[in-house]
Amino acid sequence: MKFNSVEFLVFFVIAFLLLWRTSKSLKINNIILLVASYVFYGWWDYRFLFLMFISSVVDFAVGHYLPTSKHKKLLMGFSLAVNLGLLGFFKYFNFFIESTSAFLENFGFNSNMQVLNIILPVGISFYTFQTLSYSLDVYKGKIKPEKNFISFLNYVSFFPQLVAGPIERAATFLPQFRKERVFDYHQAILGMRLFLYGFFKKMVIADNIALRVDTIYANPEEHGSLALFVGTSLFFVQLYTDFSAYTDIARGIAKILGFELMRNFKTPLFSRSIPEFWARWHISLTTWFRDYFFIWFAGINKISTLWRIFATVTLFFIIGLWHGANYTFVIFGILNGLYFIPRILARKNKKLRDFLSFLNNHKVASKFAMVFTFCLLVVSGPFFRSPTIENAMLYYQSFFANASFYVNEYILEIVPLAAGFLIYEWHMQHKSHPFDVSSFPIYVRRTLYVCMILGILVYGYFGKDPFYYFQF
Amino acid sequence: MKKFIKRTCFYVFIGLLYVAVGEFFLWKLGESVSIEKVTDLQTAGKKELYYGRRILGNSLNTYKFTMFRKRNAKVLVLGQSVTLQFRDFMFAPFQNQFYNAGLMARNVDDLEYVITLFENGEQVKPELIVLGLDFSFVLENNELDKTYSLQMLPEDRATNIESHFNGMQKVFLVGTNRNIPKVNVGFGKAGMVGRGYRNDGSYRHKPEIENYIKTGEYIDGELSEKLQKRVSPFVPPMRFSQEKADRFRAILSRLSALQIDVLLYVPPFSDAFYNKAQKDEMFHPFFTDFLAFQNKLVQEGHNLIPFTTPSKMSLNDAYMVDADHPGEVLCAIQLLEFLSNSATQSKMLQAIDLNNLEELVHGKQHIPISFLRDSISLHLQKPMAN
Repeated sequence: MKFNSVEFLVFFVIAFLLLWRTSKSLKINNIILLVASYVFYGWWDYRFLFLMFISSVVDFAVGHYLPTSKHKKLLMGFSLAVNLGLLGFFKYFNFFIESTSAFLENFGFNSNMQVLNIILPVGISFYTFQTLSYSLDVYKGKIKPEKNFISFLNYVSFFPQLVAGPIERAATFLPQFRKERVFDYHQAILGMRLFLYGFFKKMVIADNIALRVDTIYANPEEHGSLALFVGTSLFFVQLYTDFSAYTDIARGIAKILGFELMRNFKTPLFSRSIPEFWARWHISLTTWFRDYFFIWFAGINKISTLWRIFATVTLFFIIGLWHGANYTFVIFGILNGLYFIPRILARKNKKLRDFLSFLNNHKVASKFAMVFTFCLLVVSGPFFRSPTIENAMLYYQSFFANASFYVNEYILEIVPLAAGFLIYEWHMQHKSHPFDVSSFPIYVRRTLYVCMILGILVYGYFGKDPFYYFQF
Repeated sequence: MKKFIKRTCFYVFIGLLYVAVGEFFLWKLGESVSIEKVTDLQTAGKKELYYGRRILGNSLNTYKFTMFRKRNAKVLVLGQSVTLQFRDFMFAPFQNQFYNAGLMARNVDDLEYVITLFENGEQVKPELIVLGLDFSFVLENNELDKTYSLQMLPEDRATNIESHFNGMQKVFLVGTNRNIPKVNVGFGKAGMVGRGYRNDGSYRHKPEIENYIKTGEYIDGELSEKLQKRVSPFVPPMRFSQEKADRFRAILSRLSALQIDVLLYVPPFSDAFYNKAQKDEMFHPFFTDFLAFQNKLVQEGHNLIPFTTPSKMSLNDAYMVDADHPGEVLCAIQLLEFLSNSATQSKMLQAIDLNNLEELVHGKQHIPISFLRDSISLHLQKPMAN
């Protein structure tokens, strides 16, 4: 079920009423929430509910036996094998087969490896990481195992964040299923604001920009350099508004239902360096990799700069691959990993460290750093957006071959909307709520809400476009 | 919680108000009548009704396919839009068992699928098929191969919520969309004024007909520009596909095995377009191959109305709706000429009433592109003499 669909609105109204009607009995409330989450996921394809259930059962059982077991590593290995195995099979099997086959053919072997017709279960990359983090935290002794199976199933399948995050941690999220929820008017209003703002961002900004970006990426050879640059710049605004809209809606729904989800973005497009960008973009994923992979992997050799560079590039290779089984994502990831080199070198070079600090802190220089960081993203963008490496290369080729400042009207007409959004974000970057209008007089707020609702209805895109990150 | 629900309801009401107003216009314009209902009423055939949605979109393949399934026609027209001017009254005495399914099968895959339905007994087979042999059918790189498929019919937009929201946006953003026509002879904003698909499946080019009545001028349309700009269907490299040609011949064999008579129709071009296209270095070699294929089919004994241009029939371009769409009068003339001159073995073709066709073609009640049988707006009620 998509958030931006009428069936979801009906589903949510029913879920809202049922959940608050039964809020006095935590047990019943959690069961209803679980049913709602499974209905939400099963609406897309009920067969894959089983997969999510298996993943949950395995980690619940592993978590249960880990503290007392003598074979902790073995148990943890089992959890890793099952979760990564499922992810690997459904997401990467064909990619692996095709890559191996191409590799063998390069050496003259005629491989007859068959790819399988595998459907990628929606949200698998998100919920497997969430359930894995639970086992890893129990393994490290950071949390105690969950005793209530229903609570654990809810932790894995909580419908607002099930298909595209944020990837929550058991330490902060699981306790929320253990305590009785009380309706809080103020929280519900904040949630409703996030909900409305998320829909506005998705349907009015992201989807309308997407239509333009799609035309550019469909035939890059027909556009000039400036149009291609604008196209990828718009793509990042699209990607950000699309993905952050999902998070806002998810957080909004959770708040209305009495839950708190983590912030996944902190105005990343105003980052002054690529490391800062990744610290402000999809925070739940980057912190996951930091905590469960990078700290261990980089820590193998804490002294060597070369090792740290290797560890960082490896990390981004994996982050790239997490996005999809395609070499385009791998290259995008590696490029972003390489962007970290100045920061790593600065650890042992005072001059470079001072320079980076100057870029970060100087009033004017920091603005240049922001623009430069955005340009670095735009350079790597075609790899993220293009379906194949050939398409991405065609994009770069067209950029250099078609030197022209011409940008067609259809693309230009969306630029003020994107610019307007960025100006708004700039003003909101230090606020805790991305749509903080609480200081406005009540009549201004209400007018604003009505305008946003009408804006969605009149200018929103009502098509088949799901959220961009659903594909991951 | 009550306070929260009350406040939320206020904003929900704003949304519902918008939907109510939008839906009112869609309903008033006949856009939201489902294809199922339209086809039921059109197949009942009590009066001429036109189907032409302008706001929600026609979901054309679905509409045509549903009509095709319901009509179970004895005489069936298949092909691209160029076949849409063959009308029921040209095929007397079978006028009540006729359906023009033009624009339903848009590529060789679709044609094969339709034949399979006949072979499997899933659809009552016709006795005569007028099959438009469009050059795009044997084009190696045909965009329609990718964009259309009878096996993946689009959802009826009248029953799709997202389409309704898109339609409402058009109603609110485009002022002229809110104008409700004074006449109502069909479904959808275009259908209401008589522009769209008739009960027999043919298409009424109302604006073009009205334009001709007002100005007496022929409009070439955008085909020359498309050729010049190399856009669909003239996407380079424009090559004749022997593989598709062979599949097309296999289709003819399968129809023959089913004992369905076939009349192949190679649609004409306007002289204005054809003279230009002949000089085009990409189009010319392709079309030479295409005509060679046509001639081969004639040699093999197929009933075939060959490619022509109006001047070759001592007519002019005014008989064309535009560069590649013949008007209904031209279609009738071509049909009459073929039936009068060929020694066809087809009993169905032999049974077509030639006197009726003669009367139509030589009658005075028409203009070059129309027999003016549809009379709904004032200036069309008194047809011009030819």
